[in-house]
Amino acid sequence: MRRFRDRPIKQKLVIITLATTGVALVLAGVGNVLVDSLLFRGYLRRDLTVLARVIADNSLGALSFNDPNAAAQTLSALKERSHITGACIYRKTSPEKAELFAQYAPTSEFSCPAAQPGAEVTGRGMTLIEPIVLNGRSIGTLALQSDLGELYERLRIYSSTILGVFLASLLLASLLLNRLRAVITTPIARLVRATTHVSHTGDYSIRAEKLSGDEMGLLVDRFNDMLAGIQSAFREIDKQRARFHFMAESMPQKIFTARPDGEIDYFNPQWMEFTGLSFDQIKDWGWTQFVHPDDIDENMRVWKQALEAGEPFHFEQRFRNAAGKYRWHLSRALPMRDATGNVTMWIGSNTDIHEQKEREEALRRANEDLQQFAYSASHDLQEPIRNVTIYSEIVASRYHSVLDAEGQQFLGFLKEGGHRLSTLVRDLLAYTRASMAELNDQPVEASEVFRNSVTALSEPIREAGAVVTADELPKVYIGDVHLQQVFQNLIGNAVKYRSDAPPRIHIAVQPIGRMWRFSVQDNGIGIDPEYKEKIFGIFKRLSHDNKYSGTGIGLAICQRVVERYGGRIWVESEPGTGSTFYFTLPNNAQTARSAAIQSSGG
Amino acid sequence: MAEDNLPDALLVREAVRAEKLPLEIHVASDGEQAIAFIARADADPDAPCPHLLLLDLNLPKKNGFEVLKRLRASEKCKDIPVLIMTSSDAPEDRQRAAELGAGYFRKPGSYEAFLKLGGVLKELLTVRGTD
Repeated sequence: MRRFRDRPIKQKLVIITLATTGVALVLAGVGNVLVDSLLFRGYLRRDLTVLARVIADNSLGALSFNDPNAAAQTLSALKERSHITGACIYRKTSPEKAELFAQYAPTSEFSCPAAQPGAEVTGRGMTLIEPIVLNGRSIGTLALQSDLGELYERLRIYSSTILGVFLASLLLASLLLNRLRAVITTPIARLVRATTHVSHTGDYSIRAEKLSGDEMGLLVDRFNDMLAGIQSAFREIDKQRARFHFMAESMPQKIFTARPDGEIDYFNPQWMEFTGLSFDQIKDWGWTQFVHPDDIDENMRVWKQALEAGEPFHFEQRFRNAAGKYRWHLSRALPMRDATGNVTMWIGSNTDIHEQKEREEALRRANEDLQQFAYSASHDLQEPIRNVTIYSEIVASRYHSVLDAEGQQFLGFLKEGGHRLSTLVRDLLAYTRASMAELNDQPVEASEVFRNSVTALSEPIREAGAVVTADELPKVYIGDVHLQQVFQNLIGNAVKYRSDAPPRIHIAVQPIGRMWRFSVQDNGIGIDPEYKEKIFGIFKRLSHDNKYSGTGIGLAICQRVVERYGGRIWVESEPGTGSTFYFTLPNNAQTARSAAIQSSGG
Repeated sequence: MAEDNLPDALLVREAVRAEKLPLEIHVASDGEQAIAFIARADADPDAPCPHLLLLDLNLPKKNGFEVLKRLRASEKCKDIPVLIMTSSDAPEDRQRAAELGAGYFRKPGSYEAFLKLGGVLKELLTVRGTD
């Protein structure tokens, strides 16, 4: 049996109405019967009492004259009253005792009790006791018994009437209900149909029909308002989606979106066009099939790391196109967040950088070749130059006597040219060496390199009477040869470009972020601000005074080395007071390495 | 001496003479010739081992280090002193020479400095003599 609350409203209405009607009718009927039966009992009692008085009065004579036959005669008049089932007259023989005097028994079922009975109503009838009084003295008693047949008859008639009315009412009520319940159930049914349609088809353009102006009508209005709201929200979403798709599809880049867990749920058509694969083939993690096998592991590592940290993804990798050729792409993805900061989706772009990558690679190779060539050339040049210089020396000393003045002058040109050439080539070699850096994961003790540099420069330092000092220097991630090139050039310059005062040169260091900033301070001639940048160019020697020897390549070497490791070099100077050269170097292997890789790529 | 550059070979001779060292110089003008010389010494019990190898690094056909490796693999001659004689000042060359137990002489740019080679050779031979 279904619970009442789960039954359809139609049935509920029927049950409620019929139950209400039924209960009302039953209550009204029962009330009526009860009241009537009470009233009727009262009426019966009064009727019996009147009858008893009349009989009692009529029996006075019979009792007084002790004539039972007369009394029986009187009693027999009760024949007319069919509901009187019997009557008895008792004559008082003493104040305490009474004896049966006459009786009326229409049926054999009735007989008067010998003793005077009390007044009572039994299930079968009602007994009334009436004293028979003469001149204020009780001379006997009349007992009158009546059955309740009339009462029951009335009750029966009442009940049948009420039942008839009850059934007729129910019938009428249900007929009425059948006609009227549609007023309530039809709007509900229509609304239900409308909601079912919407939820099945997702079509928010339909509207529920309003059939009444009551709460149901209000409900339909609100429901339609809601539909309109949802419809316009969906229209807005569709518009945004169309905009996004149009944007994504009109870009040359390959665009994708991914769920927060990294599974890809959208690829713009550029992907399908490029890979020749269908969306179903590459969605979720299917895209991994067109990533170059050498790139996929690192890609997954970086991508998962980005997903976990919720930080931008940035990666260069090769994708296989429909023709089976791999092309370099720059992949980027950014997390989109909601108001609470949770990642709701990822949006990624992939730009074809193949040509750029190839150009870079070609440039890098050309640069490398050029450096290698310059290195080999300057290396190989040393030998013939040495032959020129040394053999011109030998000729000058050994064959001095056979040369005339002009011959000796020419030989001098040869010697001098050879020496200059030799210096130039040596510096060029040093410069190209600075570019061909070896990567050094092991830190180098700058203090030790400093001591080596000072030792290498001991002769010029001694000659100039210079004092070279340094703070305690840290470990740095740079080739020791390179650091020595920098120290030696800066200290050498400080000694070379001295003022009249004895040179004081001091090397200090300070941590700045992930770098060390070294400074080499001197009290030399200083540098005119005009030349602050130019001095780092190749062969930019400022002083053409012969007093200052060299090719002017030292600072270019220093710059090359420092930039090679991601640092920079600059000078602050006041002419006449001295100069301070600053340069920065990474204080950790990682920075040094990534800087070195970058600069070798460019 | 393994040296392909005649002017340099002559300078070495000058330096040996200047120091009056009692050396007879045999010149191999490329790496293969030098290796062949060592191979001959190994093959023929009567062929002599040189007292000293003066080795240019930048040799045609086989470079100086290849020659040096072959020498160190020789039964007979592996222990003779070797002086690498080169224009290169590259630290990795110096380091490699040291690893292979060879001396290092950077060919200088002046006659006077070149003559100092004689002193270096004398010292090498003396050290060997006291062994």
